Amino acid sequence: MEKKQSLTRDREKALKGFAMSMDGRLLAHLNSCVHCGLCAESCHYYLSTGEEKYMPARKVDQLARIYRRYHTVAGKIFPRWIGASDFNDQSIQEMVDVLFGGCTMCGRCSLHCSIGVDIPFLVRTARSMLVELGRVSPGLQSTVDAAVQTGNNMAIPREELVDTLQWLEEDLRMEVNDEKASIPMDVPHCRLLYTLNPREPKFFPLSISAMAKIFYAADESWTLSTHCYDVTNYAYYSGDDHTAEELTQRLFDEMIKLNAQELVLAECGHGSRAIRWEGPRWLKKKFPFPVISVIELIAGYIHSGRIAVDPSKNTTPVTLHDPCNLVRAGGVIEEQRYVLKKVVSDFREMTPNRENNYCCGGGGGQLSMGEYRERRVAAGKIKADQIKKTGAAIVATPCHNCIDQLMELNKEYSLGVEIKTVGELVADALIL
Amino acid sequence: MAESMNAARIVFLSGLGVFLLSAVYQWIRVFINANTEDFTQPKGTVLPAFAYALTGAMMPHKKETAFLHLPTYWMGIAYHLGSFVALAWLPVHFFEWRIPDSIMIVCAAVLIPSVFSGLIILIKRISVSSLRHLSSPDDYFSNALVTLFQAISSMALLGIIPVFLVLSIGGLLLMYIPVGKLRHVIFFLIARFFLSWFYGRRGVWPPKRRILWKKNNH
Ligand code: SF4
Ligand code: SF4
Repeated sequence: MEKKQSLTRDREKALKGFAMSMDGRLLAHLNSCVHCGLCAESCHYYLSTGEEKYMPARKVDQLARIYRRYHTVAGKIFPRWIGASDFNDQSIQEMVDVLFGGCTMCGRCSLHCSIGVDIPFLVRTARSMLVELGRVSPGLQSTVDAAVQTGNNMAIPREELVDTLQWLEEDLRMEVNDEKASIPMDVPHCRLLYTLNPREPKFFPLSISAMAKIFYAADESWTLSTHCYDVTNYAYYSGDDHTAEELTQRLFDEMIKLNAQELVLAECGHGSRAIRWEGPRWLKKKFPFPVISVIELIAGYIHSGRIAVDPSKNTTPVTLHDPCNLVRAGGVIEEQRYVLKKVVSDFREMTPNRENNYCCGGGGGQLSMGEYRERRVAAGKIKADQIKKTGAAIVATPCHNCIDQLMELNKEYSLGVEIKTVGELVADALIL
Repeated sequence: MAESMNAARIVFLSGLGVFLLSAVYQWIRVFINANTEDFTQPKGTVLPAFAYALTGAMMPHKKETAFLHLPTYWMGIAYHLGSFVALAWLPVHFFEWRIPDSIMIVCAAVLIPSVFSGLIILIKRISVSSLRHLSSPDDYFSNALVTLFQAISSMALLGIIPVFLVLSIGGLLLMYIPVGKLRHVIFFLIARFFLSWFYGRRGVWPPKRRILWKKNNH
């Protein structure tokens, strides 16, 4: 029996947390990889750099080797034979480097894995262990901390948000020439509570105007909350379940407080996934109200004739980037296509697309981890090439995280395109 | 000869026992900890997704890992088919049932491409740097053991070597399955089921390419 290296207290705690999280799903995925290596070309990191450490199978092994060492008989007796390893400085450093710095948790590899190993699930489980060790990338951790301490990940003071919304409301009134047009704030008993990505009030207020215009056209009963509106949940990315739960609970409580009927998630891939698909697990309860993506809402408006649109108002060629968390891990796949085909006259698909689409490189919390910027931009080359091939002049994407990354790729790879939300294109096509 | 056969039967039974005990233990572990309570509002259903996971999603034109590596994909299919055929012969050898020669020859013929596939996969693992770096001794050993088992099975079917050798190697193989990566035999369907749960519930699998309109969306 090869003796295990002694563990510090925090490492023991991390391993204990890992053992506690070992449900049937985790067991199955930890024991299934056959090291065929065929998943390599599914990962944009590997494709763009050719570095073996980025192969999805290597990422699986970062966690599986620890599992084998501490949870299998063979791993305890002859670890080298089956590629098991101690939870030591070296393995932890490699985990940080590759699982935080070399994976966007996009899940493209899992979709194509020979077996069906849920690789981002394993990556997130490993990140949770690193949370226990305080090894979350500082940039990502500060984004999480800002959300916890200030109520939004960009630490925007409430007064600043209210100011922004007020001038946007004035602009909207002028644009639609109607004094009654509004951006409602903290109004109880509305049909919809609409969330925001804090990047919107901070950097892209026009996407809020666009949505306000759509709600106006649909004559919707809606409100924003100025207290709790942040659709993002970076604790999902950091692997910190406890904080992820707290952030979800706040939004849940706001829904109850404002007594809205439906929670509408703004154009944000990971936020939509976190609230809709992970949130109920964190809170251990069903949400007593429907939770939908704003893209599903807009598609419904157009389908039912509640808003009228004219595609000839958007004649520039448009392509669509599918955010991984909204599409591959969220099932909102056809709605954005339906919407875009109704609001633009020249829509072009990227290849591959839908659930097979490549990640832009901005997911997994990468945008807040400055130390890995170079890798992130390099990994985005696959997306840049996809965009170029379409010949489109506008890239639409229903995710503000993706927008940030695409804007950087636009500069870095001289794409010469405009990046827009789906809502902005819909607003431009509205017939009022 | 009878003594060798009896010894081989003991090895086989021991291997089968170890394999079954381990598989049942792992399945119970997964089942007890299945944690299937799902509070999400579904956008799709799990069972059609599972059916798709085992059919459409495995097709070479759908699976990138297949269509980018077609020769490996087909070798993998041949290799797995060969393993199932060779394993299916173990009880026949054990009980010394009489089977028509024609069937034995067909099975031996199935095993030949399978053995070659196993050898090529092994050579690939040794020669391709990315695979070498991914591999532990178990990866080579598992590959070699299965290939050896198939080769010996085909030779026994053609009457070139005695049957007790197949039973013995088969027993050792069964015994080894729970140790290394061959344990994917135990977990494959379960992993695929959990992935189907994920994609099915979210409406990703099976791909629909249309919108299921809900009244409350508008
Ligand atoms: S989840 Fe995405 S980034 Fe991570 S290994 Fe898989 S394909 Fe690569
Ligand atoms: S395709 Fe799946 S089974 Fe094969 S190496 Fe990659 S993760 Fe492992």
